[in-house]
Amino acid sequence: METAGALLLRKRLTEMCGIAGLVHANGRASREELHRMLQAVRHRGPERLGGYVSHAVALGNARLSIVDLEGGIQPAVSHDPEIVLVFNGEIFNYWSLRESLIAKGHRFETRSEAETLLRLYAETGEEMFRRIDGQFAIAIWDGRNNSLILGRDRVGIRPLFWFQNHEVLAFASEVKALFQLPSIQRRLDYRALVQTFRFWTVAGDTSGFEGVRQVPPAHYAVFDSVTGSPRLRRYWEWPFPGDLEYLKLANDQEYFRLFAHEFRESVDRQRMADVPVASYLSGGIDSTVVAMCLADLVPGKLRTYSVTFADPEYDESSAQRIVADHFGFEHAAVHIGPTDVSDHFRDVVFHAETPLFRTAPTPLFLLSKRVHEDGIKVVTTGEGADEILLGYDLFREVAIRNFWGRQPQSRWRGSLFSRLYAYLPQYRNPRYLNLLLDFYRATLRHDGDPHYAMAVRWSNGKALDVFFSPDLRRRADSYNPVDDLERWLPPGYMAADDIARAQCIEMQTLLANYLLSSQGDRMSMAHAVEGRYPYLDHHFIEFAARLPRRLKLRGLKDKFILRNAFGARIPEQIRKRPKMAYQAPDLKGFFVNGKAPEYVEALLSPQRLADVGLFDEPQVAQLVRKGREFKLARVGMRDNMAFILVISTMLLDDLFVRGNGLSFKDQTATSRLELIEAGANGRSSNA
Amino acid sequence: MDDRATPESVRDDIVQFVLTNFPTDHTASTLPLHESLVERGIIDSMGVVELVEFLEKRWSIVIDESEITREKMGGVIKMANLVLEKLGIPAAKL
Repeated sequence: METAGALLLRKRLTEMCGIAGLVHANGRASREELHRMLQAVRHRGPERLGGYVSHAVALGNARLSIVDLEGGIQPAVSHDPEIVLVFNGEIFNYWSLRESLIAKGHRFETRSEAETLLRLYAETGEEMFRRIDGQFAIAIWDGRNNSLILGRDRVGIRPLFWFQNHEVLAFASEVKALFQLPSIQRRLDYRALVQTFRFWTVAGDTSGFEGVRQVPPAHYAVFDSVTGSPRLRRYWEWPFPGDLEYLKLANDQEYFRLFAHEFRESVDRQRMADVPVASYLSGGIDSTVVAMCLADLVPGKLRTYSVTFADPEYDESSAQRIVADHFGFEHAAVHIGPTDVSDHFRDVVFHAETPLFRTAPTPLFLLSKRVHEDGIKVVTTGEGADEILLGYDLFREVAIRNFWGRQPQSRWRGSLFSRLYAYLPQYRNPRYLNLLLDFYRATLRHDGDPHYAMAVRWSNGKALDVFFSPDLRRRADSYNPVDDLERWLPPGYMAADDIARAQCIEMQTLLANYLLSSQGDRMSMAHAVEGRYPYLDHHFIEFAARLPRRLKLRGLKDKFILRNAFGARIPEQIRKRPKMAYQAPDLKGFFVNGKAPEYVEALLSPQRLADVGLFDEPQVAQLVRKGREFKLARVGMRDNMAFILVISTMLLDDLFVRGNGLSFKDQTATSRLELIEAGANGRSSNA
Repeated sequence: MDDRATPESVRDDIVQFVLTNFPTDHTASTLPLHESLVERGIIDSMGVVELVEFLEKRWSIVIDESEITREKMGGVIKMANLVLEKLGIPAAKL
């Protein structure tokens, strides 16, 4: 048990920030170009810009100052040898790392995580990434061998992009910072479009823009020269069935007890901050358990936040209220009215910087704004539970397909889909079920397809290729995005079963490149609010991976162990509540009363579509007409996806390729860049 | 009964509805008429709902739950025949 003093010492700066930097091949780096890059990400850390500029190299960060400014300023700089480090995120084991470094003779000048990381790198080199527990993006300039190292956390919570050409190697938390450099051309990457139409997200190191790459989760990249290819190293693998020895306990109750203990430990690790931590509350069991465990650990009433919808199809306010009242949370909600999605979607795409297939990030963008206005800087969320505890419909869908496939004549087996998709009216209504089952019947043949579980989703995505312009269609026809995805799959993938493979692909695509980025970091950091993810603590991931599958998926009951480990304390209405996927109005959010906002009309005009050249004008016109005339209460998934993919891509073109989003909205808010000069023994001083 | 309906016009109206409401590369001459649009991936699950609602509204008919099957609706021609049967129009060979 830690003493109060030790806890106080363990607390440290919450490093909410964005990072950026560059190395020139020839010529000198300038303060001005670093300043421009940091200005572009200053929404992530709006109060203080810190930088280091020396010869060809510049690194910096934009941060939100909270306490201990002197100790927390970045970059962390060592003079001899010259090592410079900037980072964004949280290092949950930084205090124990610091103590072990002190035991090895390191003398610290500050309490900052940045200095700890700098000294850890000096001590261990690239090995450092394996030793860090946390959510982070780190950039290190090592003057001993003139190399740049970019590393990212295990699951992809914090973003990190890079670009290189014959003049410059640059990196940043967000692409818009890279686009401040004039030598970087701004073009949409057609591969990103094809990937997102197919998988719902980009794959691997792809970004939305040509030439801009991201450091994939659990990787670091070492650039030994400005123009040479990096050495990309994976330092951690998602634990994969087959590589694992499963936990063997006597009975379910023992598993439940151990699970509850491990999860509480995870929440305790993740809550570390020197500021109050609030919790998002969706009304589902994942975030309820997080908030409940967090409330047990923090003094006073826990503050919780939700989104509610005017459209009852998406609204979960009654469940949220049940949870908040039951646990006595201090609850607040942001209400999403009929036009909120379309009113704010331009800002959402500006922050997401990638084609989107749903508008669901938009309410979270507005929620983080509210949280920020309330002075809250850190929130926990339930993200990740569906991936590690097999909560998604996808996992049960493939289980049913396999089950039905063994006796395709059985109508009862097929009818299990109506239980799985009970929240969709077309599946609830027995009128349509027979015909809908025809669709799944056609997908029952396995034929050894390594991506069998994804076949339904991917074929739905492939059907949307008809929206591509003839030119893009030609390129798409000669490019197989599955090849790009397969490059990043772990060695054990082929030996795993369909559910484990689906789990792996969900983690690499939907989780890393949408939920944690477009819907996670990018929406919360748009308002300098930092997300914490207890289900994605890597110790907890490794623990959960060793749980036998029957503890996660029992029959068609998802997240079985979560519901049971904490069941006694959770209101029955929540515990037994049918799953409701978090979504927001997509197509119909843009055609309230049959009328689209002006910017949508302009971007989807035949002239603009022809100028951009990515989409087929008649197909888009048909979709727009359908949006204007649509009378049904619910819109089909394909129409929704197609529309959001098209409009988000057209917005990306407008904001970034044409540059209409790249000038700073508020020139008066420009922050001064403070430069740090190197001192002896890692000591930093303000210039 | 819709006096203007003919086997050809019912078939063509269904084809036109599919082509103008669901994204597809097909044209009136290439759309498969005898195959399930669902199984061919031309319409998705909500597309089934849209299609049934279209048939009911366009020809003022009611389609019973027991009729929404592959046998009765698994393809444009089958759907046209179902409509014609409800309108009391002898189904010609389409």
